[in-house]
Amino acid sequence: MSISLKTTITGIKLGNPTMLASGVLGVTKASLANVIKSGAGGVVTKSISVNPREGHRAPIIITYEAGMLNAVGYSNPGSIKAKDEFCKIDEVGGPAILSIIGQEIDDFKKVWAELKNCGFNAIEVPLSCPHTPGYGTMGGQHTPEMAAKITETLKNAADIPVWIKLSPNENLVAVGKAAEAAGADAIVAGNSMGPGMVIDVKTATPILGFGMGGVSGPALRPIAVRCVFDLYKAVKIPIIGCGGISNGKDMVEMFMAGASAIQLGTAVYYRGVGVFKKICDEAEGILKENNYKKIIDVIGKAHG
Amino acid sequence: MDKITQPTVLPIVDIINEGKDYKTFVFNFNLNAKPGQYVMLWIPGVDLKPFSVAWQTDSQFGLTVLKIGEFTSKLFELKKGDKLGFTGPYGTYYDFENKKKILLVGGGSGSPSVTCLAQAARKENIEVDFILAAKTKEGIIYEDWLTKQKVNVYHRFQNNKYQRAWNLITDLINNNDYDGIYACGPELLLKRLVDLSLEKDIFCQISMERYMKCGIGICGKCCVDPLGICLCEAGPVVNNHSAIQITEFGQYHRNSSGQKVDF
Repeated sequence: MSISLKTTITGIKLGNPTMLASGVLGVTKASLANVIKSGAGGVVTKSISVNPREGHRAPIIITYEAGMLNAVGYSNPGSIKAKDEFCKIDEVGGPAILSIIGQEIDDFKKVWAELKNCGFNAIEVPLSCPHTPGYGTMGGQHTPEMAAKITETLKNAADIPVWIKLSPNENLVAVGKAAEAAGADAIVAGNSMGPGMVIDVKTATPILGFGMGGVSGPALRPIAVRCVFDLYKAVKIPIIGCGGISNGKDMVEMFMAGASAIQLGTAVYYRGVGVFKKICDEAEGILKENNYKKIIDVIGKAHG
Repeated sequence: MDKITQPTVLPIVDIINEGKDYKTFVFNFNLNAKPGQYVMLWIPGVDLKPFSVAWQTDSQFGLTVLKIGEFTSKLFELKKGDKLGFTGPYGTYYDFENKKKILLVGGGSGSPSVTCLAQAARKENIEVDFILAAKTKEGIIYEDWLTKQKVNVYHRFQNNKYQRAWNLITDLINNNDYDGIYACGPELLLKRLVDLSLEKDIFCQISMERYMKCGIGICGKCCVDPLGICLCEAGPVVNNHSAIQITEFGQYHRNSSGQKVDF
């Protein structure tokens, strides 16, 4: 008896629950296609802003004993070039989600207006980047008020599902509920935490080009699991678990906390782009061992 | 979970002036890189950029840098004893196992990628012909160093086009039985070389430059069309058959924000 890993999120059917998290790979359509080919159930693009951004100076990514710190700084080609890059996005071979960022409310509308005919399956909006001035938590966007405004704006403009990506730092439930009330179709919980900092002691210099960066990987996982657990009690819309998942057991755990799908970022560093398939194979084994037939049967199981 | 990527910080033990706007920065470290691999070099508090390993011994390695922009200008201000960091060595490398006679082509700042191969190949007593191509006479570097390694050095310089170098390349290939051709330099030169090697059915590897920012296959800046693979890990060294599968090869690359730029 084979185990089913199929799941549906906001009407989008995923062959398996693993998606590429925004910010990892995902600069080009070919890169997204390669990730799908490697086994991901879906992909999220690098976040797109109205105008091109070079991002922070390097190092933009470092790792330490318990995970990764990144301060990429939203480098992206801007909405006009992104339209050329991502046109006919269905060619990547699986569901593709467009990540949109902005500083002003209008920015979100503008990016969507530029990319609306590319064929994306959903929009993801990170209100939660911890290391880019003007955006996410550093732009004051992770509040119930801003969540409501941005969600409403995109819901009015777009005819595809809108996912709101939250910060594990604070106000998670309040911001999630505000997004839900404003019409959000799903919550992604969540972004990297912090920011954190690693200092080189030989030169007394913070290593990351931006000095500080979002913390992800194993250090984040138990926090992300608790975030999903809290949200599952507070909202009715589906939750996509994200944060430190690196093996099949982690994925099943996230489902038991309340997730209906998951995203992977840091795990691509630890286990390569084949990680999507590896995690699915491992999860199948665990579900089988525990006499489950479908992964969707374990959603929220830890809530008793 | 024990993969930690943080720069190893070392003092610069020597700085060698190689020619106009070229300097080699030397570090005491047994890097044990394979020829063609690169390191990400960190100027603390400034930035991090990829550089091919130009040469190495059991106790040292050298990075030869062309002063070309903000980062390299900062680098050129540094003195012996100043501290720099690096991560790596990273990437794919030149395969020269069981070769007998090989042709190496280094164009401009691409030369200090194939120099490392010349050094390793001579250790194995492989016969090495090396073409140094540059825009100007001052851009011809490493001639004496290569000669000391008993490499047969040819050099050609000419503004803008590499036609003189190209004529020499074709002459040498037509008149020798090379069992390997290796090159790093301007992409249009590499493209011609790959096409020629395929036509003549000679083993050929090139080192391709793309905008690499993280070096560990995560940021996605160096993904190439249509394969969508990161060249920081799947490259920089690719063989001729793989190179032609990269349709952007010789056509365009992407800049720091991910926009396409034509060659």
